[in-house]
Amino acid sequence: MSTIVRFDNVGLRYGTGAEVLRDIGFRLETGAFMFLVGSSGAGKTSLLRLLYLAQRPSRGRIDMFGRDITSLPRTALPALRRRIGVVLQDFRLIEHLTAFDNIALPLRIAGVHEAEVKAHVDELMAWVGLAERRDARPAVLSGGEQQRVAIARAVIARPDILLADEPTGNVDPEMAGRLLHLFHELNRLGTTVVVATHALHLMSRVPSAITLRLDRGEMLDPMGVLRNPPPVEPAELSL
Amino acid sequence: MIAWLQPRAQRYRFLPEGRWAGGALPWIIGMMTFLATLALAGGMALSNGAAALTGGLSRSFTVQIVEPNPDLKREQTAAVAALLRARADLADVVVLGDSELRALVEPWLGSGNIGEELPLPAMIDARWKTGTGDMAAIGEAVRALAPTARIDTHAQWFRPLAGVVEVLKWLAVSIGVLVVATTAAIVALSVRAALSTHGPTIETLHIMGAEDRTVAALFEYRYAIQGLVGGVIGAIAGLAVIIVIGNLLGQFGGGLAGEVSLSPLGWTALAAVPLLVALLTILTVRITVGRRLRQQL
Repeated sequence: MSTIVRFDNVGLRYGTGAEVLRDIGFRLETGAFMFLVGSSGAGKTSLLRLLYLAQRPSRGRIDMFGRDITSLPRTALPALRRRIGVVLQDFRLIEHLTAFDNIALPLRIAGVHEAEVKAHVDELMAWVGLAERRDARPAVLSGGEQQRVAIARAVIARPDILLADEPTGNVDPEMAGRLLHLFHELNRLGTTVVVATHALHLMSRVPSAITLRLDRGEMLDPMGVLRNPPPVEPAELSL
Repeated sequence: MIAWLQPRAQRYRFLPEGRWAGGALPWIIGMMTFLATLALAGGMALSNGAAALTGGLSRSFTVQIVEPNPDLKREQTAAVAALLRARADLADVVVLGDSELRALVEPWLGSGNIGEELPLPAMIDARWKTGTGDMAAIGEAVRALAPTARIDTHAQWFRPLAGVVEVLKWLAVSIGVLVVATTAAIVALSVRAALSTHGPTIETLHIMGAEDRTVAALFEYRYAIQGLVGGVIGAIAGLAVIIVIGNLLGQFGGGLAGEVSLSPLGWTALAAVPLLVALLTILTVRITVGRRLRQQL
C-alpha cells in the first residue's frame, strides 16, 4: 500500500498571524479512511485547505500523490486538484447553475465528453435522491439538498482522495447514514477518504477508520496510539 | 454567438451571464475608439500631407516672367519652357494658360473684374524628379532667356508649414497612444471589479482543478465581445466624421488640402480598428486576470 498523503512537521499561519497549525505530522495510506476531529477552531478546516491545495504550509513538508507540493510550481497543481474531491462546509455551490450543472462541474472542467457527463450525473443524482431537483438552482434547494449536491459534485469524478468538511451537518440521521455509506463504498473502491466532523458517533460507522484529533492547531496523540478506535459494539451503532 | 467560437467554460456558463460592468463598458470603449479612430486618421492624413510637403510639393517651383510686352513675353515663355523641358532632371513642366492665371487672381480681384488689358505674368510650373537640384543654375539659365523672370521655390513657402504638420502628426499619434492606454486602464479596472465580484466562484473552480487559462478564457470571451461591440460603434462614428471632413477638404480642390488625405491602406487600417480594440481588450484581460490568479495558489 502506498502513501498518498504525508505531512512532516507542518505549520501554517495566515499572513503574519499566529500559527493555526503546529507540528502536524501524519501519513495516510492509499485507501485509508480518516476522521479528522476536534472542536471549533481546532484547525480542521485549515488542515483540509492544505489537503485540497488551497494553501501551502508556512513550514514543513507535504507530499501528496508522491510529490512534494510545497515546492511544486502552481501550474502543476490543477492536475493534482482534479484528483481530489472536496465537500466544503459552506458547500460553495455556484448560485447561477442548476443542481445538474453544479454536479457536472468537475467533469466539465476535466473536459469529459458531454454524453458521459450526462449519464454519470443523472445516475448519481438519482442515487442521492435529487433526480427530481435536476434543474433547481441552489437558492431553492433545502440545506440538506444543497449538501447532497455538494457531495455529489465532490465524488462525480471518482477522485483518488475525498475530503469532506462536516458533510453530515445539515442532513437528517437517515441521510447522514446514507452519505457515510457512500463514502465508505467509495473507500472500499479505493478512494482515500478524510472526513472532518464534530459527530464523534459517526466514527463507529467505519470501524477501520483512523482518527486524527486536533486541539488548538496541534495534534493530540501525535504518536498515533489513539488513532485506531477500539471496536464498537453493534448496539452503539446509532446516529 | 456561434457556440463553437465560445470557450468550453463559457458554453457551460461557469460564470453568470448578464450585463457586466453595468453595460456601460461597450459605450466607454466606443467613445475611446471614436477618439482613437480620429487620432489615427488625423495622424495618417497629416503624415501623407507631410510626405507631400517634403516630397512632391517642395520639389516644385514656378518661373514667373513679368514682361509687359506680350509678344516678348510669349517668346520668352516658350524659350524658358523649352529650356526646362530639355532638362532630364525636371518633370511636369507646364505653362499655365490664360484661364488658369485668371483663376489664380480672381479670388483677390473678384470674378469678371479681370479684363484683357490687365497684364498678367506668364507662369511655368516645374518639378524636380528627385530632391531639389541646383536652383541657382536654373535661375541663371532662365534669366539668360528672360531677364525679368523670377523663380519661386515651393519649398520656401511650405517649410514652416511642414514643421507644423509634423508636430500635428506626432500630436495625433500621442493622442492615439493616450487613448489606447486609457482604454486598457478602463478595461483593467472593470476586470478587477469583475474578479472581485466572482471571487468565490473562481476559487471554487480552482479547487476543482480549473486552470488559470480556463478562468481567463471566460473573461477574455466576455470582454472581447464588449470590446468588439464598442469598437464597431466607435469606428463607425469616427469614419462618418472622417468622411464628412474629407468631403469638406475636397471642396478646396488640389494643393495642400488635396494632399491631406487617406490612402487605401489608411482606410483599411481604420476599418481594422474594431478588431484591434478587441485584441487590445483580450490582451488587457489576459494580463489582468493572470496577475490576479497568480496571487492565489
